[in-house]
Amino acid sequence: MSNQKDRVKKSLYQTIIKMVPAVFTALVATGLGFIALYTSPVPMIQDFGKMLTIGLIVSFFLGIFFLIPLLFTRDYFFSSSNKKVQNKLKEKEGKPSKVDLILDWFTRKTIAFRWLIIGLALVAAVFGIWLDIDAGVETDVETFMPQDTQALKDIHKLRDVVGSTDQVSIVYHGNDIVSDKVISWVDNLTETLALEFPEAIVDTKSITSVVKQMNDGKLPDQKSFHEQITDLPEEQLKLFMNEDQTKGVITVGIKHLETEELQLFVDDLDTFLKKNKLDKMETIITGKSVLDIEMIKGLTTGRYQMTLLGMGLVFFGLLFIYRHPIKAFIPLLPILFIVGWSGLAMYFLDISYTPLTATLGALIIGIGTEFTVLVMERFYEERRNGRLAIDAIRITNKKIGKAIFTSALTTIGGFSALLASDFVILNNFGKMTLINISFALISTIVVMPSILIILDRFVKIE
Amino acid sequence: MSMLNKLSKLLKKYPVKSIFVTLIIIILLAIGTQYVYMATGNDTLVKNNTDVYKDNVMLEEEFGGESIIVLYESENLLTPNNLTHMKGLEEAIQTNDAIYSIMSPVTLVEEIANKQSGRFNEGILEIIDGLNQMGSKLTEIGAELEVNAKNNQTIDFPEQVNLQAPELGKTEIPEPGEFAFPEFEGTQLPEFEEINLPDMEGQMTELNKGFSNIIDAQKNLEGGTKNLVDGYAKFGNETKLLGENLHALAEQLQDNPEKKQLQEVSKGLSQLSKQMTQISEDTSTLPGIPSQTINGLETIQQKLSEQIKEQNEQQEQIQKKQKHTQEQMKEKLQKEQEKKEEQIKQKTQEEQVAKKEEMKKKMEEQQAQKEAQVKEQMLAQQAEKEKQMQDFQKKMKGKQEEQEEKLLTLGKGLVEMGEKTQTISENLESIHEYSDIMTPGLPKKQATLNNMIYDDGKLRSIFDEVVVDEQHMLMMIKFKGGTNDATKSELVRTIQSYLNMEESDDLTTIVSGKPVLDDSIRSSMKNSMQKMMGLALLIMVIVLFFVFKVRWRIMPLVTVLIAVIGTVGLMGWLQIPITMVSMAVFPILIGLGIDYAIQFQNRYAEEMAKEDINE
Repeated sequence: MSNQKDRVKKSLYQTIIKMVPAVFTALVATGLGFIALYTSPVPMIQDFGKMLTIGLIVSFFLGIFFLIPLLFTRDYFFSSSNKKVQNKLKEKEGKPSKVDLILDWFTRKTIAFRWLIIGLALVAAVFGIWLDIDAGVETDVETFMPQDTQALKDIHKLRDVVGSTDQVSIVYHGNDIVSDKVISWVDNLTETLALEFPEAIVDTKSITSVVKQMNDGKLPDQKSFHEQITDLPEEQLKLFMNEDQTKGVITVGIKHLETEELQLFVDDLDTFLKKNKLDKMETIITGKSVLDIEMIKGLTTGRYQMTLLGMGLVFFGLLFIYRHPIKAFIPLLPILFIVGWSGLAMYFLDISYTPLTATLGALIIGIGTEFTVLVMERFYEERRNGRLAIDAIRITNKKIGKAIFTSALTTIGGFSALLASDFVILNNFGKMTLINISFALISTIVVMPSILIILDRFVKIE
Repeated sequence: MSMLNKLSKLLKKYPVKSIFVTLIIIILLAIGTQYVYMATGNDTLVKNNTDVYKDNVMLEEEFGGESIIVLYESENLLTPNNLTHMKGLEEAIQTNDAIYSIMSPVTLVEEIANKQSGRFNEGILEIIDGLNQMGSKLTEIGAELEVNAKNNQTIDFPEQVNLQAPELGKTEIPEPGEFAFPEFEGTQLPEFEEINLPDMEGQMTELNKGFSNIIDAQKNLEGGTKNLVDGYAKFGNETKLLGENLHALAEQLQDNPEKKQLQEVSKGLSQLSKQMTQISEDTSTLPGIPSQTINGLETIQQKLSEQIKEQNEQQEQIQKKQKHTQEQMKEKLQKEQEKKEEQIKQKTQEEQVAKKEEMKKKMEEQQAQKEAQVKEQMLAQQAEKEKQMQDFQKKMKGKQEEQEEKLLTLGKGLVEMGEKTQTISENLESIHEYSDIMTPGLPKKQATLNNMIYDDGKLRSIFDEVVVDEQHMLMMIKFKGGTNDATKSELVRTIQSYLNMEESDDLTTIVSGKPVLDDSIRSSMKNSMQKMMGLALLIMVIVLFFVFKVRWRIMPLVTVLIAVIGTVGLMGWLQIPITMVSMAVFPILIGLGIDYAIQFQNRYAEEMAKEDINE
């Protein structure tokens, strides 16, 4: 009985001593990757990063303070005959399984063709990154959601009937927005905008267009304009002019444009307004569509920032732990390849970047680094044990390969649930994560040995 | 390492406590799940400290935020039924504080009705005032008229001066002087005095002047009466109009006692107006009477003038004749005298005297004859005139009496009417005090509605925004800036439940707009998350079953599940919303988090097995 208890105690000790640092390293690496998400200008991506980080930390602590004590308690207080399982395990470990043999053969082959593999991986990654630079960005919320929703059908129908539900608002403000000068300026803008941008604008409404409606299409002078606007229904007036009459708005109904077209249109509109500026009158282009554009900018420029920052963070994190630049760099190299391949996959699957797929780079840094760090650690452990590089790789792949495979399988299992979502944005993200985890697995098992062997000469073994 | 040693000692010493403390912490965190919210708003897309975001916030604050659009589709669109349906919807949501503005055909129609009612209200007040004034004025006029009619208007004819036959001056027949013959020269020829005709001319002119005055007076009377009658007729018309207006108003009103009251008033007004018109028609002949009188008088005046002229002529003629006769006579006399003188010279004085006597006689006779003739003529004329005058006077008097009588009735009528008008005014005022009946409602009749919506058969341009085409109209409900998602969803559901409850066969409605879409996204998110979680757990069980061959192999999944609950709770505490992106966290977390648990458990199992082998 005491034997059993000692054994359990020792197991716990070993688990804590060996696994906590390893898992913690993986957590830091993953967490650093996710922290890169905070730098995104898109708040929903930041929230995503926060949640992932929090979730992983909570998981980590639960593993230590819940799972391990629970297993310990089970074996310490309620000892039972678990020898059968262990015996089975023992038997299995006794002779190499078919999977182990295949894996070993595979590892030897990859080592033999290491330059070719590195070359191919590099070419594919560069090509992928090159394609990725021009990848499309999708920020239209309507394309994210389940496409067979009644609400989406309704809004399409509404759009068919009304012509447009999208708007850009031009807010103008100044001291006297009902002076003759301003009125005619507003009227002029209202009349000419649609002519200026016929491909985008459906209709333009402002206080002058409303007053003109009431006044048989004529624009009254300042005095009667005042009377006219006091005559307007309050519900209508306040849509175009604020109460203290310092701000007015020209509402521009536009077609439902692709985000890039929209961006072009708003830029053109801004230039047009600057050209037709009225003294002491400030104009601001705003509205939902302008927000969308801002988000596109955040996604397109923020995407590379996030990926590079993630890599940088992971690099410095590993540098801090290993105090060795090459060792800190090695786990990142396969990730760099994955990022490139991911771009290639997105191109061929014709998936455009959404706020979610934009996080793929950072996500794969977090997940992939875990694999590569595990492999690298084991490799140097074996090297420290005095094995040759090639032998070390073979043992590493044999020992860690299975663990990584298991880990990848569970991750894939979790992520594949995303495929079940009817949200297009989640579905596409699910596809891409599955592909990227597969890449990570390939990269870890196929590319990583080559990298380790090639770079082995730069790493001194104590 | 010391940290890890301490940790392992701690766990060895207090394994059960550690489990419970951990679970308690998780439970505390899990309480936060109730604060978790889902976000789809702009703040999930763009940071709220950017200019772009601030601009948009400003826009929403000043001019309202997102809008829900309710699309009405019907073959027969702009009917009172459909508008009532819409009105019901508006009433169902009106109390919501988050609404910035509602625009729909209903609000516009009501706006129009409101304006009309405002004008109508003013109008009624004016009418009340006007009626009151008119009433008192009518009473006044009526009373005045009565008084006037009573002591009126005997036209003061100038007293008919009895025409005196002109005294023909006594012709003094020359006394045959003492014969102072041969002093013949001394014989004075009888001086024929000028015949003094009576001052007919002056009197006639005066009479004429009097007539002119009468005519003028009659003309004034005519004008006055005419104005009065005209005004009366006008007033009658106006009253009629008022009655009609009130009736129309009453038609628009809901069925309530006030409506009846208003209808009665309107009926009363209508009757009054009829009465007034009748009276005005009756009295329309009134101005004719003075006009006739004037005509008569004018004829008389003309005749008078003619007569004066005639008389003047006659007088002239008489004078001329007399002169002529006198001259003739003088000449004759002179001649005769001369002859006579000669004869006298030759004949005797007797003869002369006889002759003179004879002559005198003859002259006297002649004169008398003439005098009588003139007198007779004048008298006849005078008598005729007098008769005419008397006839006229009689006629005039008759007519005047008739006029007086009519004026009297008119006066009485006016007084009565004035009183009635005042009563009406009072009634109206009391009706007006029930101000709620003036609250405009949606028109119940298609015609009234059409009148409000169409202008010359064309849709009024004010409706352009809300009436898309003949089959589609919109209701636009704009939220205030900064309204939270829950409030928006609540309103969306209120609208949807109203539309479901009030379904109509020939009417299709669609609720749409960004808030509706967002709401739908949020509920889909919930579904999707549940689905994903369920599926992820299922997959994990299978994966663990095949890959993880240790005792209690399901434990890593349990661990990560507890971790997910803790994470969600922490999100609630930290106010991190679930967005379309972050809902992907749960499967990812299960996939990644389970890895740590597996690694721990795997190593532990490995160690346990190792000990076994070593033994």
